Amino acid sequence: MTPAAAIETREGTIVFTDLSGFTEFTALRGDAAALSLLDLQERLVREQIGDSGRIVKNLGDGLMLWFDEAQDAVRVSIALQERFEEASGEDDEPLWVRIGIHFGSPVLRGDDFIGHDVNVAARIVDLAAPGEVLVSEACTAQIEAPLDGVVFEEIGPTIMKGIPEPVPLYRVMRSWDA
Amino acid sequence: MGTRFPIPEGTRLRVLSVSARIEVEAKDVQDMEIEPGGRRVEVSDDKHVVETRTRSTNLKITVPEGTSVSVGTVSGHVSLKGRFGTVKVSTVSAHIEVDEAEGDVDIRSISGHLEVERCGGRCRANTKSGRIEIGWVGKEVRAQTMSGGIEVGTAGQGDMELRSISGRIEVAVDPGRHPSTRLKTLSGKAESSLPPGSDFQIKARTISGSIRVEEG
Repeated sequence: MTPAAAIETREGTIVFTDLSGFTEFTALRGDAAALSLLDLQERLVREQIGDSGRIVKNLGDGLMLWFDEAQDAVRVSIALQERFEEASGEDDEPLWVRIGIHFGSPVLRGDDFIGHDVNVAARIVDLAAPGEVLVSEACTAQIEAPLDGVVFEEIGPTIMKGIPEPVPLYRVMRSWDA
Repeated sequence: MGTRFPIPEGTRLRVLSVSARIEVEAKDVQDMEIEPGGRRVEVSDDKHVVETRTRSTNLKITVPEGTSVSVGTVSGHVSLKGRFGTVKVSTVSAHIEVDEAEGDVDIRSISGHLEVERCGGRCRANTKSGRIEIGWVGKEVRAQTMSGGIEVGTAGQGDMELRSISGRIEVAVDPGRHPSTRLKTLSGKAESSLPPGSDFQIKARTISGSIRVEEG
């Protein structure tokens, strides 16, 4: 019997972004405009992340991000939505992005992460609306002190395909929007 | 025959299901009744939440009018009949139907249609592929779908943010209310038959669909 290979896990926060309507936008405006939209998304993400996290990989019309600290993931994500909205209004670019956040201990595979917690984060972004940030309770539980100007609103119990236990989710909002 | 038990006023019903059809009816009763009977029901320590779970057994639950309800499911129709307090439903692929909520509504699905007859509070509806129909909403609305149309009737007492990737957006505004409008479509026609005003704001955006705002 072959011994199981040692696996290295890392505790931290996984963020998925997903650009809505990318296929339709590409069909209407062409590949060059689509590429420009993706570049805009990535540029804004890089600017906003700074040193608090990193882009793990590009997923076509979305990105997978990693943050060691849950509060950094939440702060960056909500600031990103504000920048996406600003860019959508100014440039007539539909930068309609959904964001899902989950905290866990995924398996490190080179620079990438895999495992159950990555799957949960991917399911969370599926339920988010464009312009919205959804976060799991596993992530909010890591945030000890209140975040300035940020509130979490429970969206109710959520059962996700392939995930046996319910995942309580919260919408991240600016306190003045709550 | 179902299981019947009294619940204190202000109790929230929470239902978790994998693939069952969930039907909750709010009626002029004092007790909660769950059919089929004999199901396990958990009550939170503070008595504010009553929770029941099912994998695939369809549930029919009766609650007092004004009860707040949360439902989480993967598939299986979710139907809320009667007048509720606040409503929160999330599902992967089920259709969601809500008769009336006195308070806020938050319903979301990945691939299901969403219908709300009447919402007295704020209404959020989000689906990836399905249509959204909101008969009348008293306060703010945020409704977003990727492939499907959006129809909303509004009292004109709260701002509206509507977004569809490939579907028509139609807004009916109660008489006498005059919105400021920001209507944007990349390939369709956007029009409002209402005189411009500042009572509330309608922000509607679509990539490949038309937008129409009119008196309802």
